[in-house]
Amino acid sequence: MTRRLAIAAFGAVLLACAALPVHAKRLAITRAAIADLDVTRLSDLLARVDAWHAQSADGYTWQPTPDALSTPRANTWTVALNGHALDVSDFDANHLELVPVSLAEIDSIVLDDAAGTDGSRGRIEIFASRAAGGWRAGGALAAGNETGDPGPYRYTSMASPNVDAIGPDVSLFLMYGGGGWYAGLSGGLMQHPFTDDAMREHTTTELASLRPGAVPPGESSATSWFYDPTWPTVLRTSAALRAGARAGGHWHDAIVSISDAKRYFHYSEPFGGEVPTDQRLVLGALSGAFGGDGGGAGTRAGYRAGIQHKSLEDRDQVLTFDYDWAVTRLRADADVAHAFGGARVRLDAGIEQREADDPRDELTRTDDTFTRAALTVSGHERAPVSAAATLSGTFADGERAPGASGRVAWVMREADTLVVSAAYRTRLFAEDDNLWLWSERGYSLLAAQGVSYTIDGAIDRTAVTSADLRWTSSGVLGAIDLALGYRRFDDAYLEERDFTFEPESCTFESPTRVVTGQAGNVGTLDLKLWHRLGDNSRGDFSFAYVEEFGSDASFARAWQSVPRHRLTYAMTFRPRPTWTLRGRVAHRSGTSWADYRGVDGAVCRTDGVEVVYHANVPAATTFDLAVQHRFWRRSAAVDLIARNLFGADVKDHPAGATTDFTLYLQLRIPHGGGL
Amino acid sequence: VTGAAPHRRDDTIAMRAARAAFPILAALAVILTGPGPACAQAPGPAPFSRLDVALRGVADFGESDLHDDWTPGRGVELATATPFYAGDLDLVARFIANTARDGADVPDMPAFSLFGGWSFDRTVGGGLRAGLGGAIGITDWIASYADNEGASSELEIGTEVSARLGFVFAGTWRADAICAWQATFTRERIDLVLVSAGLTKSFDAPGWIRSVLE
Repeated sequence: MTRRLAIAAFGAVLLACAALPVHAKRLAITRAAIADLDVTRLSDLLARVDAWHAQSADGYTWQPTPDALSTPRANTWTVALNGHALDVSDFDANHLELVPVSLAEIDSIVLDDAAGTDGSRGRIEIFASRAAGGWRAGGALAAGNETGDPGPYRYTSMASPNVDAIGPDVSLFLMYGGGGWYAGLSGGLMQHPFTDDAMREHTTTELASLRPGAVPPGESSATSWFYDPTWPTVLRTSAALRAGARAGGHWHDAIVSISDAKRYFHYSEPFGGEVPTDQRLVLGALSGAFGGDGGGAGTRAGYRAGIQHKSLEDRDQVLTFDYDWAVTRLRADADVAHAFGGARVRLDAGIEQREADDPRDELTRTDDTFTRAALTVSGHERAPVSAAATLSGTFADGERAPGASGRVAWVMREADTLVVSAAYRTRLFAEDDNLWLWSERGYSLLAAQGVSYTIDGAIDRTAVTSADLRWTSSGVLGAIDLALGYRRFDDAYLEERDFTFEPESCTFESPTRVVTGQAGNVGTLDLKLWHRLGDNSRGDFSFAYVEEFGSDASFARAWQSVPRHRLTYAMTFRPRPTWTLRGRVAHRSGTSWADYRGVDGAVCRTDGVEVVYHANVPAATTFDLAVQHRFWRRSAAVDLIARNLFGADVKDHPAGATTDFTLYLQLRIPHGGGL
Repeated sequence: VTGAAPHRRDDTIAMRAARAAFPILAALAVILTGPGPACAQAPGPAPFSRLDVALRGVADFGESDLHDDWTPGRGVELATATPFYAGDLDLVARFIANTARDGADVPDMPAFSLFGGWSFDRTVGGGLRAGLGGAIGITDWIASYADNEGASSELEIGTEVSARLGFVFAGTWRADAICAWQATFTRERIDLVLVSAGLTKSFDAPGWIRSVLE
């Protein structure tokens, strides 16, 4: 009865309102805002956005989510570049640095927790710039150094291992824009060593484990003049050719790109340690639109089509880990929007074909075809009260994953807005594209590496029901943004382990239990306040709270690894138009990791230092300071960024890296200038 | 992890005096540069309008584990400063030779530093100026073996605060004495007390430098 009432109430909400492609946690980050975040990498940026939570084991790839709401595996995020979904997720990590453009080329980033027509939990939309007119060249050069190295003591009895450095990262672009067209070429190079004490033993062991008869990497690498292959370091390179032309009142863009990560050591919990892979993503895509601008009356049509090939392998054939794997995706989708009177109707339709290539021919099924459609109706978009609704569905092999969402926005007065939204989203297991899907289909990666696991039941569609309320108000002295949210997860599946410690290799071992049919409830609160501090400065305060309640045991157990409180206060002072000083204090509450209770207090002794692993990650408070100077008519900037000034013990994961006081220096000439 | 200290040197009177001089100099600079009637001084030069170029000799009078294996370094520093909207922006390049002590099984470790920072000073009477500064930068410790085998370097982050006294003469020349405390954030922190002295020459900044800095 309760369930029927809930469905009826939800239906009433849908009838009364609707879902624009705008939701309670939509956040647009402009180029200027990117500069204000004092970051040098895309993944780093997503770790510093207010109200978002990002976790990292290695400090290189991050799992970014709004309020950690995508912790269950079935709620993955789509990363898209100019509308094209990118296959940057491998079995255990979102590798955002595979995005083939650099921060210097990015015009804006939109973080949207609305369900996309691809069935994802939400989207991270990255928009790369087009050349406006004439030649434009630029790029960025950035490097960071974390404190805690041995320095000259390396040659004494006080010797200790070197810890992480960041970069050097280099990116360049050259573009030309004619009247109604543009073309450009860009490339990037990035390095990140995995040498933190907590992971050093794992990574060096993996690096040293050569296949019988293999040539040691130090003698085989053609890139050894700028990359040391004897270190556990990822070398990420990328190149992209972008071009476009304006026709029919809209841009039509094409991109061909390749991004490559050589020897990425990503921490994988099923394996209990770092797994080395070579990853490569090749993309070719087209997009564009015809018709009206979508804002007034008339009809507008858009299209996107692309092919991409993602491979995980050991190209040097030197590592013992056999990870050969490739996935090819063909995607095509279109949308048609028609506006009339005060209303607008939009129809999205698309098809995706995915084909997996396992050289061992173990898969019982290699290809899937997903058909997706969504219908959005919105009304009175410019009236004090506007509403929208979306119905969507994904269809594959006789199965379907429906979704629906609705939104009402009330502009109470010019500076006060109240938005209420609700959504119901489902996602097919086949869309998850993760280790468990392919294991179920016969891929024996885990078994071949001696990893044991069980799946306790059938994995079905995971459903997420959400409701959000958001109030924003602004005045002369500042502004406030308050958001309350509720999420209900049904049929989620999660992983459980009871790790034991292997002191010889400093790795963790446990069979994995995939627990299915889990339900859970999560409530969130996000508060942001802005206030002026005179004409040239301002303060930004942000507080986020997330609480799990009334959930199944496995769900509740997993949620203990999400910090309940996150608080930041950033103060920006601009003494001169070209000089900016920024201070930031951030606090995150501690977390508890049930999987690691069995290794609490375990000690890894390596290279003269001791690392103690704990099941609880303590709360952390950090202070950052940044100085930014813009020059060459503000088309270039130099950033000096000091992170974790007082050397707080900051880590996100029991087996992960600890970051100390780190200093970054960055020189950048972003696309479009106008810093 | 702690190491034995077989090569601990005896402090000399000069070392003890230099370490004692730092807080005295700092206190003096704070008193002399603090708020008071002298606040009514004329406004400073326009930002980036001037370049001060200095050459100074520098000596390390610090006491840390570093000095168990290496003799306190002597060196030289080349510095430049330009007026900012308040105070001065500083850039210092420094070389200090750290030679291995007799019997220590370590290579010589000459260190190159590059520090950028901010400072301010004020006239306290006659041609005498007193000031305080802070800087952040990097030091590259280069292992130097006699046979050049196994040479490598360690690049580390550090900060320093300084107190300074200067005497202006002949219009654009200044004689400076600076005492700085420098911390390098290695796993076992390295603390140095650096005393430097030398001459500074002031120039009008070329237009292209001003346009870049502005």
